[in-house]
Amino acid sequence: MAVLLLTTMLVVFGMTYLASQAPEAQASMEALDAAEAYQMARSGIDEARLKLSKDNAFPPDGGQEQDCFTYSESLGSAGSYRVSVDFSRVKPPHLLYEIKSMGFFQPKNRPLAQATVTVWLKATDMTVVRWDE
Amino acid sequence: MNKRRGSTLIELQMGLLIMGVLLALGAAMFTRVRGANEHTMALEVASRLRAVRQRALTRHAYNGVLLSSHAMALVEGYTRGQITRSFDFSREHPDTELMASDVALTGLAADWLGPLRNQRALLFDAQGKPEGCKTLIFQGSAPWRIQVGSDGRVEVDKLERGQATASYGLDQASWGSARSDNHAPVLSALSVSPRVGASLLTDGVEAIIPFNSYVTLRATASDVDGDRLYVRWGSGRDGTFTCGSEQPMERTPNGNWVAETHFRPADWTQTTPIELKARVRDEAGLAAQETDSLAVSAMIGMPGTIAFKGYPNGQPDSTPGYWGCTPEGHRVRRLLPEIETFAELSQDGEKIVFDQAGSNSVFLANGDGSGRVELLAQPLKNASVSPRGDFVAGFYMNGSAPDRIAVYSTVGTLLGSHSLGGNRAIPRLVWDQDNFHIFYQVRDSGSVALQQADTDGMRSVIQARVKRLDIRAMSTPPQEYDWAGEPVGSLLSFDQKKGRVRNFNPATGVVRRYNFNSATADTVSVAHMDSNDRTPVAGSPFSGTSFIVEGWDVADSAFNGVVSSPDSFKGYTLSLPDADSLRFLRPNLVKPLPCLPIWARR
Repeated sequence: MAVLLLTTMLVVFGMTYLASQAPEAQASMEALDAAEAYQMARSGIDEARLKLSKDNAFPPDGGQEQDCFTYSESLGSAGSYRVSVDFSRVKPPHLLYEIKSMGFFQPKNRPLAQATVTVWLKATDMTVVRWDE
Repeated sequence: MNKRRGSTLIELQMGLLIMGVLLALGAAMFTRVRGANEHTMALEVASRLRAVRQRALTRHAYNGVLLSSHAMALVEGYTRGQITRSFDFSREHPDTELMASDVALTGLAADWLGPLRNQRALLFDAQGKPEGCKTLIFQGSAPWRIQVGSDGRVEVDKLERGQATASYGLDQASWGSARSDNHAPVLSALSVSPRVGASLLTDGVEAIIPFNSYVTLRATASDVDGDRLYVRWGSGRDGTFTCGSEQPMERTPNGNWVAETHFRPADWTQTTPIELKARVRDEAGLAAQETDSLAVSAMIGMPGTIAFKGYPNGQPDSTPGYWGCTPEGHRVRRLLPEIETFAELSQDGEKIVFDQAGSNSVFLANGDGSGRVELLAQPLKNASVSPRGDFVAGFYMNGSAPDRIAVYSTVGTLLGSHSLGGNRAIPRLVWDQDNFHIFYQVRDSGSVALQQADTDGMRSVIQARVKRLDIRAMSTPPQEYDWAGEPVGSLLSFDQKKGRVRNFNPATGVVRRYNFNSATADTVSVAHMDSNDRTPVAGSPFSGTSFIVEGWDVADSAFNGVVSSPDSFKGYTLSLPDADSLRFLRPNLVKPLPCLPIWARR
């Protein structure tokens, strides 16, 4: 009988402990989600930087009236990023692109986490002048 | 034999296990009746606060949370705080309300939060020390409290009933609205760019999508509850939104939410208006609200490019460049940085021939200004590229007088050259739409002769006793030329005198004359010469209001814009006495249109 009682108590205590740890586990998962979203935003920055360096047709020519181009790309089930390329200061004397990338960790219409990274790039050699995150 | 068998130990253990599980669940259900909601919520929030503090310590930067009655948002970032994730407690804990004291943040913490500084927040600095709301109360049937110590330790304890608001002076009414009272967001504006002159917006159309380009849609919304908002885009016809059909909006420093996307139609041949819509919803879980949609009606603009010489930013002392825009004046863009005296876009829009500032050479480039190459290393005055971009022709000068006219291929091979024989030619030419013949003018003892040249020679095609013959008007493409029994040729239109236009068929030598009212500063009247009946079309001449385009200078008052378009023969470009504006007219439109401005900004 003592064994049975001990077993019952262990079960109850075990379940109580597990229940008490659920918020801790959840908080850890949220930190991971935030890190994922941040990495998504970094991906958007890198991708926009590559496009600006290699693709002469990017950003698409909207004439003088449009000085910002925004697009988003989905990385499957991992999440997505939305990038805004502001080229209003690309002409002298500034010679700067401002890229804002918002990373979303699954799914985009109701993301678990999101992060924003804003970068200024020198238009001449695409080096980073300023980095905000 | 009556054999009685008892339970085995395993069976007993299994039975007790089931009983234990039921007991645990029952206890949980029982305790939830009183205080468990608040307790669970307090534990959840405390766990998150500990994780936030841990993150601040490991990243050596501010980390924190924003608090509201039924929600919490994580804020992090090295240089400034940004919301990375938010939690809505209203679904799991509908009867529990989170309350916190309103402690204003100052100094570095406030700077880090930026536009979020006015919200209730609890931050941990790089040493894990708290700032802001250090006491949180979970108000319900049995209140619980989270107390954050000055060292950053997070502790949870239970309060006596009624102690919460009395002890901490928290005013429930001032502490946000409960989710059950979720207010609907407000979609305040849906704007479209590029903008377009009001005169173009007819028949309910509010925007024009530049041909082969895109329009930018920008939605602005707000929500009194501070909920995160999402926008859903829609279109009445197939097309692509660069940010997908739904996207999270972004919070601006003034508390509004904005989202931007670009729309590009799939089919550029459809001329009926397209409806572009936006709709906004909030994030609230139990009673999410959605706005009605705002919509704009847009149509696709005309194909083609108007190319012109102009000064950048209204600085006539600088070197002019060569610019392009759509027939509606959209997409004003610089095709060539600096030209010396001339530049011309072929009518198919594929090639530009030009001279470059500081150089005596003639250059050729693609229609967008890319791929510049030196065509000739010698000056060829007023070179012009043929309609299909195959040939380049121009004048060689002897002093200030034209000496020879020459035709080159686009790789610089001389195809033909003709001496002007001492006649005083005007060094300006117009290509026939057949892509092979050239028209230019020669002055001879009081009259002006219009001559035609090609690789076979020259001949005089018209002799007119006038003082000036300006052939800057456009030719009519062969496909529009359907005079029965006559060879395919061109209809050449030219100004003989201000206010009078002549229409000439080089195949037959027939000349027709039309009069139109000369342009004034305020109105323009233009006659349309139709190739079929050679009479002005119904409705013309028409007139309209002129526009003064702020900040734009056309370099030459004798400006001659080129419309490279399948519809080019249907358009006229004019520069008017107020030479700071460029106008494009489409005389084939049923509804009289005023002259169209080039939209340009300083």
